[in-house]
Amino acid sequence: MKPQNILSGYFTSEEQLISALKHLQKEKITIIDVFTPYPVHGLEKLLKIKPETLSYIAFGGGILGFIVGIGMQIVISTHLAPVVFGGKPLMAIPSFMPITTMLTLLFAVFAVVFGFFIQTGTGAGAVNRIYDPGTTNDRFLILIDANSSEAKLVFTKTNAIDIKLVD
Amino acid sequence: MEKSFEIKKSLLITLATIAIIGILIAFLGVLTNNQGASSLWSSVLLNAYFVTAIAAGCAFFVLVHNLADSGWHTALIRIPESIATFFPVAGLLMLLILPGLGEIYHWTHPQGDALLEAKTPFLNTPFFIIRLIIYYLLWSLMFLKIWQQTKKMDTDNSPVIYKNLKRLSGVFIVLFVSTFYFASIDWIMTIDPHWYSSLFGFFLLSGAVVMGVSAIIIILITAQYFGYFQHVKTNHLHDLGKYLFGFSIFWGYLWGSQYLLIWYSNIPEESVYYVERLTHFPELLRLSVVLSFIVPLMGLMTAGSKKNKTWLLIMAIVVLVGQWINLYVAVKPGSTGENASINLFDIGTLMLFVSLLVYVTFRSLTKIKQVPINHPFMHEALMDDELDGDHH
Repeated sequence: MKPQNILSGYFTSEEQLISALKHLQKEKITIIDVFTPYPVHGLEKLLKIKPETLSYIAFGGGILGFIVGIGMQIVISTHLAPVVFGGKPLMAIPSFMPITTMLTLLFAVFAVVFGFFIQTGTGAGAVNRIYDPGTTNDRFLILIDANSSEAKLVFTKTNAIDIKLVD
Repeated sequence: MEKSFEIKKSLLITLATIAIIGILIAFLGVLTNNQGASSLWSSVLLNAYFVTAIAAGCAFFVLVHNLADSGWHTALIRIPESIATFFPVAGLLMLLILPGLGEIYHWTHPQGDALLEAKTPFLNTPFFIIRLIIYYLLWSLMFLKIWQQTKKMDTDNSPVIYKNLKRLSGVFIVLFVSTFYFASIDWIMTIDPHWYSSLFGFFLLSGAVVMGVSAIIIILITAQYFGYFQHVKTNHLHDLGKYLFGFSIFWGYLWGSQYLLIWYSNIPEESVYYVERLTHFPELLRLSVVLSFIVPLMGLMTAGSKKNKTWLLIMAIVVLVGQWINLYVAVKPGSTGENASINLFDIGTLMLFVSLLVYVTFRSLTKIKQVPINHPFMHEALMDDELDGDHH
């Protein structure tokens, strides 16, 4: 369900943004999205955004990398290319540690990066609407649902700058 | 309003009971000891080093946070500062090993051993004692200075005090880390005087930081249970949990690096260290790695586990036990020999020393305010909770 009317307005500081959001929530205005130039501390809690699942994706990727890393080395050094070096046994677990660590990291990082791209709809080739180019500079933008009659009035009271309908 | 810290009679009685039971157990341990005098002396060294390392970890924590302009730690900085006041007492405890130096360290009688004779310019008894006294004097004076500034901050709201603290921390951290590196080599590594590892000092320093953070967590949660430090919130515990998690991994990384390099190159004079431990103490060696690396790695991975007080307390205790076993495995094989086992004297002296540490910490806590109200970052340290909307 996409709301028909969206109002946008911006602020120039983090504190103004937070107090405006609190005010809007008190008046039961639906907040559609917030854009900030940098991560604002406490914003997720204020907007009640669900905890992200990215850490679990990272953990899964790490486990996969661990299994691939140690499995690959065991199979290669015992069956595919069994070479004795330094008088060590063919399956010398300590010598597998560095590569296993690195593959664990690599898989975890790839899982996080691509998981993030998929979850947020970003990454190469993605097209996303830019509501205000200033949000990459110094503007804190709020989008609200303007379907209710008093929405604009409440929004004006928060001292938002440049309130306008988004087309 | 904060409840001012006081040592209740019940706490004093508990600590005294632990200390007296410790003395009795240690005495029993002396009577039943069948591993020779070196077992007793090395136990004193082990436990004196253990409590020194806890204080050293807290000292490192204080210095690093002062230097980094960090904010969150301000809410609980009084605990590590109080634990670090233990240095003078730890020094006295360490002096107890002096009569038994000959039993612990082989380099005290180098006759007939060409390698040890060559090392006598550095490894000789008088110089060892001088170094030991210098280390403890230096650390005690450093933290006396920090402590004076801290106390001054309670009554004086001048921002100059924080600047002084920062400047002192910059000088002290260089002095502290380098002296602790050499102290660890002096006390622990020279037990096996033929063996050396250049990252051993940092390995023990990382262990000390892990122990210090564990001790902060244990004392903080205990104090909160009795109604003190109520301003310390879940956010701060979460950060302490991250510290414990991160430094346990760092410790495991250094352990692995040292082991891997020695295992790989397989040079007899290096690998003898692990051969001895893997032949005679395989369970303890593996247990120390499991308890202070694998358990916190798995147990503190999620955010929820770091915010859970009971779980964090359990993890901190487990890691402390793991670190103690790690030190045991480092000290005992070289000093007592392959027949060493954890005996009553180890446990008794550990109880005595730890109860002393707790007493000194609580005594120091009574002398300062729990909330450093004049600290410039106090507002920042408590701000996180305001943003949560809890207070509005």
